[in-house]
Amino acid sequence: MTAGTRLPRPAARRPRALRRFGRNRLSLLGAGLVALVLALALFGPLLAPYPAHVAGGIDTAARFQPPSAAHPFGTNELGQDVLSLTLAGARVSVLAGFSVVLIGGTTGTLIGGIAGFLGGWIDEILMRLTDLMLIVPNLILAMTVAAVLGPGFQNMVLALALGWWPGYARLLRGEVLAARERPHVTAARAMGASQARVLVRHILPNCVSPVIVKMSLDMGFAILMVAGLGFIGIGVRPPVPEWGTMLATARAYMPDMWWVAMAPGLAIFVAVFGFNLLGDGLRDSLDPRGGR
Amino acid sequence: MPPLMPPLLEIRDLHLTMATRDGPAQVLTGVALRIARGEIWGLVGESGCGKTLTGLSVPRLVPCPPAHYPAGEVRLDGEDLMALSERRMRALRGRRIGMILQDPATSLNPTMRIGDQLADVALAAARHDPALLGPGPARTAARALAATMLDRVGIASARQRLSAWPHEFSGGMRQRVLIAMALIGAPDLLIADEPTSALDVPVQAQILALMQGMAADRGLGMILITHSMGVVARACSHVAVMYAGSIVETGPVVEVLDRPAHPYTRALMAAVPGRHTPRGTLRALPGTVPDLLAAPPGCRFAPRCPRATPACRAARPPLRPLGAGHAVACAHPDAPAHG
Amino acid sequence: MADPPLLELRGVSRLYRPRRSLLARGPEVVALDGVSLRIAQDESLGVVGESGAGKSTLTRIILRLERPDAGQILYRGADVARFGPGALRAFRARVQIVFQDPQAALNPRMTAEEIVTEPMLVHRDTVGLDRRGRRARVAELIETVGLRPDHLRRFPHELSGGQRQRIGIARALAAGPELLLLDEPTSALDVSAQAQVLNLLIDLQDRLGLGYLFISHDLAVVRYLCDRIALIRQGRLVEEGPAAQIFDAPRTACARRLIDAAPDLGAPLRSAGRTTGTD
Repeated sequence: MTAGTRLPRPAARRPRALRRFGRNRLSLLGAGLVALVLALALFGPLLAPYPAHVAGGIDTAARFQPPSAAHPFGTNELGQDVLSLTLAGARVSVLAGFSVVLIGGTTGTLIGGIAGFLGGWIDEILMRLTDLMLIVPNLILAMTVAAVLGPGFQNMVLALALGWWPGYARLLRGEVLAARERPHVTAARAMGASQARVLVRHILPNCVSPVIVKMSLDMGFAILMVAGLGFIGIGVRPPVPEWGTMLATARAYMPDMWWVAMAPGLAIFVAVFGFNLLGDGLRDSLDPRGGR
Repeated sequence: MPPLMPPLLEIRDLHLTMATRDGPAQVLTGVALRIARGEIWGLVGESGCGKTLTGLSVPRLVPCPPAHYPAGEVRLDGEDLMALSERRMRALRGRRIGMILQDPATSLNPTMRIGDQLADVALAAARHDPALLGPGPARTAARALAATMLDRVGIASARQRLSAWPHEFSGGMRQRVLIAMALIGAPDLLIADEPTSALDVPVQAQILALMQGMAADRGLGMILITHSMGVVARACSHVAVMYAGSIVETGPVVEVLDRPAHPYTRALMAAVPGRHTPRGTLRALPGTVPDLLAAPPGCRFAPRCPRATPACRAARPPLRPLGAGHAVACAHPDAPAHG
Repeated sequence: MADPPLLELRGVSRLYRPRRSLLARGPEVVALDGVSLRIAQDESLGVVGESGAGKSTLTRIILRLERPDAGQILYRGADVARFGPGALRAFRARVQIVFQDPQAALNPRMTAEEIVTEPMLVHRDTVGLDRRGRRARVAELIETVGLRPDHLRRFPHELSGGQRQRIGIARALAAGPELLLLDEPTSALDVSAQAQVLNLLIDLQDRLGLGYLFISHDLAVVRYLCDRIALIRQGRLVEEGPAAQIFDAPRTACARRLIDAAPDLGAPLRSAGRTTGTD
């Protein structure tokens, strides 16, 4: 065609979003922190220098040792190595946060997607239900449910997820409603495409990125909520190590035995911070038209 | 014969570099324009030629960074705008330089009544020029001025329309409101970026006629940014044809459209279907505007030019006068015969 | 008896009653009022009118994305409203649409290749091509609309406005249509891209013998492309006839107004009141 005129940009397929993501240092830092936290969740218990303490063993002779070479983050009121407990605690905290977001996100996405695509009275019913759920504060709902069902990992996840889906339902319904009216969706319908094809190929792919971003941002928040439930004592029960529970116990010995709180506090901070940076980075890079 | 008074607007050798993620793009490379009061200049070219950025550079509305001006001057009545503080510049915007943006649908605030939007602009302008408003309380005077302006741009029963919402107006009426808004501060220079592209053809003609009338009545200098030679022929007194960041042909509309010298000008003119263009005979310029990150050396139009020679690709031709205010930047122009 | 026309509209009307609130509906708005039109095979009919004249409603009704309140749409003599699911799908393969804003009309998450392939997937049964056949057809289509094979790997936002509209046209051609509904296909493009697309459309019609329903507000563009012109104003057909007749002997004020407004570089430029060079 036109020799000499350079076209806007050499074609590159999928990795484009990835490259854009890679250009932002903060997103990379976020991804690094998240990778670290996930690695801890997988291998944390194996890395713990005192596996016996993780299993619930105590060493009353070594109570409240300040940080040293043997115990980089000191020991707690039972003489357990704080580093070991924190490493092992990653599994519960991250797994719980992940489950909450996954269950809540999937449920909400499904409900919102159905409501937005089908419309009519189904939409009315589902959205009024969503509004109802949104009225109840998350933490209080979770506390009530956990109190009724009793403490424990599964109950805690269930309690949190129950309060988690309405946000996703609202988000996705709005996205679907907007996408449904776009000309390219009309184009697909005019082409003779089936309902399922229109939804799966043309509407949903243009709605998922805000969901992914919200999930990533919510991960940090969910970990915080899990820790919060642990902190007020209706989460996972000791001796299973969990960051929130560890913080709650350590609080009694603040400020003198500050190191007991430091490792779990730092872990929560890193996880929340990492997931937030990752979420922001994803938001910027997932928009196919995004600049920068 | 140098004029005694400086022109209303003078742009000299304006360069603009835009930082992109793939490196700096030379978006403007030596734009020069002289606009006197009462003249309507059509700034014409394809998308991506730098028309809009030239227009936005005058009131300094291009965000820096990513933009950067390595060289050039923009003078309004002799005063260098590039050297002004942001505060002084803000005082000029809306007051001495009016802007009309392309999309009348999104340029009005949907949550404010038309009259309030107009009055706000009038009040802001009156802060720098109290004589703008008549006597009496400022708010009342501003609303009265708003009604006068709506009337002037041809909106019937203007006083009642002050309390209308933007969504109650059609596209053409919204564009009239925007023109009223741009003119309410009694500017000396009006910059309109594709003011009619979003409108129906018959409404386009009305709006262009309105703008012509305003320029004549108020001795306004005007820059009309467009991609259509049809709009230029209908509304402008002068034209500057832009290609890939610089002006390739300029002069009075009658001169340039009657005797286009640059192949690009000819191509733009040949692309507009007229009333008697036989089916299939429209000559479309092939290709697209070059990537400004790696613009060809020499004449940037050379890759699409039917007359390009190796010399064209080696050095960029300067703008050379052809007489009667007509100038062209081409090594092989269609030499127009001038009496 | 002569063959029925490719597409025929008989007295088509469409009313809207916009919702004011949950319960109350506002007054009726007439989008189309008894419009009758015919398009023969390989003929191009231009429908011209201002925005709000009901032009876009027309395309939606023809494609049965909306139902008319009165009147009939006949495709080769068959009533479109009575098509069952199978016949409707076949009809939608035969009648395709090209939209005004190519940026919005292409799915931003699909590559040009996926976009052009999709109609062949949707109409797999009638098009009857396997994977390799589809690839070959896409390559052929992309050349037909004047693009290069490497454009196929790009996403819509990586193409220029004119290139995007070419992809939109290639998509419309993919299922092998007989009639294209062109809904202001060039009004979002700049002049040189518009000229390229107009020439492409003429070329396609000459080669493929397509029928066009070309909707626009620019009479000069319609004149360039169409054999016959229909003027619509406030949902009503105002004037219809051969393009040359409408231009040379307009019968209505509406037609005259549209003709006067159309840009024309051929007209004498030295009009009164225009300032010539001042220096």
